[in-house]
Amino acid sequence: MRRGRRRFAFEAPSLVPLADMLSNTVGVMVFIFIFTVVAAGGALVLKTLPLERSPDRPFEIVVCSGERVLPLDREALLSELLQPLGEPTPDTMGQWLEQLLQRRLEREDVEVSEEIGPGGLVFILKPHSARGETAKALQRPRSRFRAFLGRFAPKERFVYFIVYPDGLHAFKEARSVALETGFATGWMPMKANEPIRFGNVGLRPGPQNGGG
Amino acid sequence: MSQTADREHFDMLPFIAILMCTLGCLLYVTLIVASLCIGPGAGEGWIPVYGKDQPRKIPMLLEWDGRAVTVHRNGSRERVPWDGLQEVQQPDGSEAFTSNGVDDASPLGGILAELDRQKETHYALFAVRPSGFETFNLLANEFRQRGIDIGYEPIEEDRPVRLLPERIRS
Repeated sequence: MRRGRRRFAFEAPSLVPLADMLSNTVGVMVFIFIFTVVAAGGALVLKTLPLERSPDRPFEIVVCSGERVLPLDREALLSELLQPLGEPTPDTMGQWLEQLLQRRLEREDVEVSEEIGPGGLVFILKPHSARGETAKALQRPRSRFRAFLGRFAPKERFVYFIVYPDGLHAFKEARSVALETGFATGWMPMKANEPIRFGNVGLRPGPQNGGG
Repeated sequence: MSQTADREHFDMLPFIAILMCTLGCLLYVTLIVASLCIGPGAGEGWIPVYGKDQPRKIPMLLEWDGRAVTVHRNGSRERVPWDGLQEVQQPDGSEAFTSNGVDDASPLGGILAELDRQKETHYALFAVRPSGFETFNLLANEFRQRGIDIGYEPIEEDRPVRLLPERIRS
């Protein structure tokens, strides 16, 4: 018996299942897209609210500018400024004050000067830009900011941040570090390039509950 | 023989390529939109948290951008300009702002009066924009002078902010 040679005829497969697969995939992706937009649009940064209170302890100044954090050792700066003049006596007070007003202290990160304001003697600190640590550097266990905080007891001092418009992110990072370490914090907004004035007038330091 | 094999083969590769490209494009767009929403476009939700030694006062959220106060009340926002700021020239030639106070008949005066009446239970919570840094203390002093408690927090210039229901810290 002779069997005929079997011939294979090509039949194009149906594209419907493939089209289904494509439209299903696109549908799922669109669904994920919509879900992501809705969920991400409502993404929130949770924050403990601040409430200002009266200062009950001395403060230490930390400048946040140019997305950098610069702790200022106020006492050391003033001591360096005043030490060469010696102690004033009632007789030499006028001369002492005259000499003081001529003095300028120039450091690599800050310049200190003085003036007589309406409320008396005012010290002026002009932090130099691009000095201090970045927000990333603050996370290092041996950062300069952490070392600065380590010199004080949290119950005896509070950290007062001077925040310039370009120092927001650095401020938030630095404040988190200070709060973690147990310090109370406060902050003051400052106009760009404006020097810090403290004395009888000028700086009004006050901590805030919460924040961060 | 080979011609027959070619004829019998249906190549799926172009179709799979189209599928992969579509998937890739959609994934890319999704990631871009998600990163925009989570990053620069994300809002901040602030939650009042009360510590043990902290007075439990209800915050009224006020945004300050240097020109106007945006008041958040009952789920709505009202922008209230403050025209009490005056620019003056300093002895060293620089310019600075001084305050002429708040007119009691102005909308901001109304908000101050409202907070003044409720100062035992409420406080003013400021979201301070960088554009309002220079003049914020002048505005804050108007509240301090009336004995209204305040709190303040910096926030990026265009980032939306809103208050969320409170939590109590144990």
